Amino acid sequence: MTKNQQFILTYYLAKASFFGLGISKLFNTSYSYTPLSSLIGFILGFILLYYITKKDLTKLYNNIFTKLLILFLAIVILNNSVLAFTNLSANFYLSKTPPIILIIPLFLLIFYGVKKGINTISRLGEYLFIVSIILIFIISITSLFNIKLTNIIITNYNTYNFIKSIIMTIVYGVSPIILLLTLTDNIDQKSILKGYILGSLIILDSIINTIGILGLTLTNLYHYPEYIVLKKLTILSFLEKFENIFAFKWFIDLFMLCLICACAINKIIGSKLILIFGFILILLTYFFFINNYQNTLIIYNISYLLMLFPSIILTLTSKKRSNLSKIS
Amino acid sequence: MKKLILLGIILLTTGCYNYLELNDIGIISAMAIDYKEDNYEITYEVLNTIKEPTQETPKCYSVTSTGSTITEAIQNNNNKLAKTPYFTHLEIVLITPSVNLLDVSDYILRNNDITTNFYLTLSDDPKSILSFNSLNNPINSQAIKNLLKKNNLDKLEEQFDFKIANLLDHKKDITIPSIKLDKEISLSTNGIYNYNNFIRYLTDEEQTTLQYLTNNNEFNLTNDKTSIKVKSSKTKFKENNNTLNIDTNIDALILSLNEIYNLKDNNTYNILEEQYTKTINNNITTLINNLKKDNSNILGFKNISEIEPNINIKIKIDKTGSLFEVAS
Repeated sequence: MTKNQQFILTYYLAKASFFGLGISKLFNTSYSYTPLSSLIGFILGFILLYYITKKDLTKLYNNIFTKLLILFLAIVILNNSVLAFTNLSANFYLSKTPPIILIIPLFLLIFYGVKKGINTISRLGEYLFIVSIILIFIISITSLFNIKLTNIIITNYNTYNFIKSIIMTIVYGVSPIILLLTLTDNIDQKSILKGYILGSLIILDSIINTIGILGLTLTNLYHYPEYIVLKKLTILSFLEKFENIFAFKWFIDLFMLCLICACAINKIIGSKLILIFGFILILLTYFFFINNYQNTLIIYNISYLLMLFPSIILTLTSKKRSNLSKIS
Repeated sequence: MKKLILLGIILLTTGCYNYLELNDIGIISAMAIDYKEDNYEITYEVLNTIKEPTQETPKCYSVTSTGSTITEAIQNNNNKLAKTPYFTHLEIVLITPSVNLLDVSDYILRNNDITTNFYLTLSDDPKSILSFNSLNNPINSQAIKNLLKKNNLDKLEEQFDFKIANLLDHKKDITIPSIKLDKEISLSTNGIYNYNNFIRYLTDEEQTTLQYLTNNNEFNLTNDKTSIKVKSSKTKFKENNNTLNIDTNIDALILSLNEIYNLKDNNTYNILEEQYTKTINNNITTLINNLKKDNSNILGFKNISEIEPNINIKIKIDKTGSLFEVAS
């Protein structure tokens, strides 16, 4: 994988878990101080990632225990991403289409991507990067004119929720990158950190735009505030209803995250079993989560813990890279 | 295998599931909600998708149904419509003062098929408004939207979900512009609320006062046969215990004068400024006292019932002119 590809994949993974899960969960936890807590979370996440990139995570596949942990982490993140992807599509795009019809093509694409390997996925990432950056640039510029600064004022501070929100920001941003690091032999620390910084800045921008435009009450009223805010944008004050195109930036992130998770699963269970495994995962996601809102809420509330513990253990059990001098 | 996957993708990702022709869609541009005799009455304004509408087939038509709940009434109306209802282009929702806003918001915010980017307006007879043949615009919702736009009421924070967020915030009571039918569709004064309860419509004088207190630009003021045009107004509120300090700066232009005033005399401007200061002072005091009586906190004060206004007004009348006096 080239340095540029590592930068781009990290850029996607740093953002992907925030859509449909991270951003709304952060607003639900830390309310008006979400921009501040996420900023601190991103800075701490950067320090943590600097420490993690000094380690060799590819060796984690040699141990059965760490292998199981990677598998668990990949399943949790894949499940979250598929849920976000399907719920968004089923609620706002294809509301009359049964969600199973949405999941199956997504999984078929994931299988196809996994079969092609991480290098093909990276190349796809490079092409989609241009689309993603253009969309984000247009969204940021159009959002600027609608932000109300009074909506960003911090009220009702609570230390416990503030710390919880910082931890969540770190987990949602760093855990998916851990999966990428387990798959990459020739890690370029600078590229990974640059990708993380860019991804984090974009998420911070999304958080400020969401609360700045919608306000706190409305942000907490909607399940997908980061999508609803796109509905409110107009280009040059007369072009409207672009949310379906703008939301493509989230679809790209989620799709890339799904591919990376599937690659990690494929590396552990092998290409022969991945089809059966995928089929079980489709049934589990569809019947247990998409068809049951209460279960989705449970996963929504505990997913950061499910991602936190394997990430900590994987970081602590991995050893320092032997060719550290070559990294940067 | 590859061919099978590709075939699956081709068959499942075409987006043709539940495909609807444009002529089969009932595009709803406005909705009227009335609550009388324990029943909801729903009226849709449906856009006519026939290529060239004639006198017999106008650009829009209305459909009405009733039901004991808002869900039932909407369902009954959908059944009456020979097309699939499409709410994405909903622009205006007219409600009567008897309608419970929280009931309406609960239904609309939960329903992903209905956009929330519409404007809420009050009317005593919304059904007649949507059934009316306006000369201003063949589509009544467009006529109403143009009226709102002309009066600077088409801002983002005037949209339905922002109003509901305001209502749920409990920081400020809401006001909703009203529409009346007097040979033509026209904009009337705002209706004021105390939380979810409609109180009354503002008088014309109160409406004008509200405009300069909410920094709404460009409106006319009349006092003893003289008229001025307020070009811009800036009002600042500062609450100090039970005293409310109101500082208003107004830039105005003379529109018409009484024969006793002579613009060649510099003192005329001072007299006019003094007179209008008095008028505005009285108007603000009257409005705040009335709001105190109504217990409607539409300006977002901390304690509306015990507040005493201390008003400081600065009016600056523009001395530029282009007309010479006709010699007699």
